[in-house]
Amino acid sequence: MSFEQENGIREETAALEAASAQEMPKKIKLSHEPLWHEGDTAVLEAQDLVKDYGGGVGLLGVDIKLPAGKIIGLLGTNGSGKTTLLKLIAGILTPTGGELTVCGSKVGVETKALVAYLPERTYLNDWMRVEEIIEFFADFYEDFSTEKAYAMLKSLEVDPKRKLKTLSKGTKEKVQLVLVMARNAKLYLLDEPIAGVDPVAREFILDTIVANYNREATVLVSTHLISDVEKVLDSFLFVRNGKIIMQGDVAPVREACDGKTLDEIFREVYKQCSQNA
Amino acid sequence: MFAKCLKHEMKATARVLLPLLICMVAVSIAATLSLGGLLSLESAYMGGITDSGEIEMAPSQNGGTLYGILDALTTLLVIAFFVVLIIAVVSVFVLMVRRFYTSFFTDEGYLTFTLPVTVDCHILTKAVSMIIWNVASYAAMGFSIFIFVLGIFWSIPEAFEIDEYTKLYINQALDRFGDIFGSTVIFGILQMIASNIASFMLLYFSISVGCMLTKKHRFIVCAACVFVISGVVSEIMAIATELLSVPFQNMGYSEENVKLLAMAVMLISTVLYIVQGVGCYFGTRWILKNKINLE
Repeated sequence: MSFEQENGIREETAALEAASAQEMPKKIKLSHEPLWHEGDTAVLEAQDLVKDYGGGVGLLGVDIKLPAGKIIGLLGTNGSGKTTLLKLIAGILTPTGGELTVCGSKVGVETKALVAYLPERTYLNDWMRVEEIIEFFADFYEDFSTEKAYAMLKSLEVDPKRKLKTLSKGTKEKVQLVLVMARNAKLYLLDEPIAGVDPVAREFILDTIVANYNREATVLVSTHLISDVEKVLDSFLFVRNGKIIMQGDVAPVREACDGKTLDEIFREVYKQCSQNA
Repeated sequence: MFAKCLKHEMKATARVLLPLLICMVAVSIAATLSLGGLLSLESAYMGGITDSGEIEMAPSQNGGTLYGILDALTTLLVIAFFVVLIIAVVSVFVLMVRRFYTSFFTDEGYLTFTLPVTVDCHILTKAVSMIIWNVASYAAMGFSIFIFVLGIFWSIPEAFEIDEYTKLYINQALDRFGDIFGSTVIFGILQMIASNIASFMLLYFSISVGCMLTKKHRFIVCAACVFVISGVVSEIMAIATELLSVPFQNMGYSEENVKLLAMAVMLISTVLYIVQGVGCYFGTRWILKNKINLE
């Protein structure tokens, strides 16, 4: 083999190696950057939080501390434990173990006055009129603003005189969103607020959330539609099989991952975890 | 918060029960008027021989049109009155049980348990609303029956005449038991109230146990829990009443002692109903506080 030939093969091999190195995705470090920093007000704190459903585990020792004034994405696939975590915070599930506090108080009557929860299902009495439901919420929650609620209903084109049973599923969801966002809560829990609605409505819902939440409060949004919500998120928590597998602020994590979107990072992290499992 | 909870609970239940109770009173008034008209028509002319010597029959015998219509209408209204009476009583019971189940164990629980309200306040709201509707239904029922009876009395007062034999019987009874009549009535009312509240608390507790045990086939499981728990509780109540009344049973036979035993049994069972109600209340409270897991 002549020198030229040898040199040619060497160059070819180097080019192939470089190409394959480019194809091989760089492994994403499963960082657990604290979302809460010294001096921040802690809105939510969970320590070794466990929820065992008997047949299956909902949460496996979750440790989180969330600061005030941020929109945080609780991101994970279906059945990963997102809804379980939100239900535990809202007080409609009883934890099997661990500690859970909202603004320093254990979940109970006191914290329910501070938390505005939007479940993924419609739970309102069908026989009620929208205006009656607003009166109901204004009666029970001191931080509820009736004016804000009516203004939101107007912008969402919902007639307050109508009975809930006459409204479509999408409109009922809008009413529930209004009831939550009309509160001046300390912690908003939004469970899949954009699931099952068309892209235009998604935009509308996200705009309503961003425009109306209390700036000193924390918004915890659970979803698997990451690409739709990532533009509004300050921080994120990736949930998988009842555990927080990664957390951090969106901007620095994206920067560390060569400018990838949160959705792309999420997909790669899940792929990595599935391969390691 | 309790006042707010009660206000909304009453609003939720009134939309079903209030029209029903109004309907019951309205039907009783209509039935009374119709029956009164019919009886007046019947008693106004009993039939006989006219001045011209013709035989004229009573309206009920000659099949006059007005009488026939009134007769059919009265029959219908009287049947409707008793049907509405039964429906009203059953509806109060069914609605109270249903409200408890839906408020705590269905999707409505998402609203109930996210309100800044204590579990005690929730249970008390249900209990007080149950008492209010029970009292309202009994009052409406009593009023309807009173109107109905008054209508009959107004049409045929002779139907209410008491014969000498009955008068004698009543006087004898009053002579023997007149001294405990007042206290028996008071104890009887107290026992009825305690028993009513205790049975609803038992139902609430049984439903809570059923829903805690399973998420599937809840109706069957809750029904089974009601059956088993009420069976066990009534057995315990019977044994406890028997045991607690032993000292009164051993006092020897005399009319005074029999009266005392009767009063003692009423008082003991009232106390036991209160114990049952309180026990079921705390059982329900514990489940709603510690075992609530909405799907």
